[in-house]
Amino acid sequence: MATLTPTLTLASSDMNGDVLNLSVTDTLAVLGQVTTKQVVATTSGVVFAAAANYTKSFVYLKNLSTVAAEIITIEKADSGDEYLFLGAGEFAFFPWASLVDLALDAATGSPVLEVRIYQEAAA
Amino acid sequence: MATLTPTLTLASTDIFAGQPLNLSVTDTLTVSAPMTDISRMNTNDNIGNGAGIIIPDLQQDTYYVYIKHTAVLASDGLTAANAGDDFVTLSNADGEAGSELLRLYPGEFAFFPLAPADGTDGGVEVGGLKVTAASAEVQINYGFWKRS
Repeated sequence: MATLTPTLTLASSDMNGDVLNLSVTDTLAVLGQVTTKQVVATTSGVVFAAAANYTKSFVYLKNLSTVAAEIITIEKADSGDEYLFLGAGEFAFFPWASLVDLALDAATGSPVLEVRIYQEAAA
Repeated sequence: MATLTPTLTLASTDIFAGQPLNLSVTDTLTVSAPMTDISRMNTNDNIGNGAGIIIPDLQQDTYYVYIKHTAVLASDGLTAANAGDDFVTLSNADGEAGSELLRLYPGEFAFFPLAPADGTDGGVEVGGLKVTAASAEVQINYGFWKRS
């Protein structure tokens, strides 16, 4: 059985009187498909992960742009509910129940989104 | 203002044949109030915005959000949550059908920049963030920081 080990740390020394130094990890089963790709965003929403093609998965996304204005919105569909707002260089990691499609939309330009999807079950 | 440094690693030795996975990514984020330190709540607690609402509706800023299902029930903070039934749904602050953002099962965590609201209720924006237990109320850890 293949396993994926995600570890997230959050650190800050100037936020509060206390130092933020969080570290969490998990051990996730990945028995199904693994998708690793880069997708070019445009100002028209395009589905990059259709819910019908996956079961529950763990998703990593990163906006590879270095241009501040090239924000990528992750939404349910073109002009649908907007979920995430990835600025240049920003990333996200979350479990996706694959109940809705994942689409991307650029505020401007053609930023590239790095996509990694790890499906929990074999099918 | 303050600096938040998130780092994520994804590692596996057996996910591909002959190719280990060892991804590491980090970022330097400038954040400002309103924000939290790492906090804990039950999924039905009211932290000032309504039961289960972490970020209220109509917030027109982007928030970096961390949330983790602690895998224990809210009833006593000790009993293990059911692995299959006691998941948590994240939705907009109104908990509207179709606004479901993601589900966290016991032990799972997420980190993401939440899309800002457009200032109108019922628009395409998610509009805040609410946690709802699927079955028994559970405890979560969370944090949010406004993008500056």
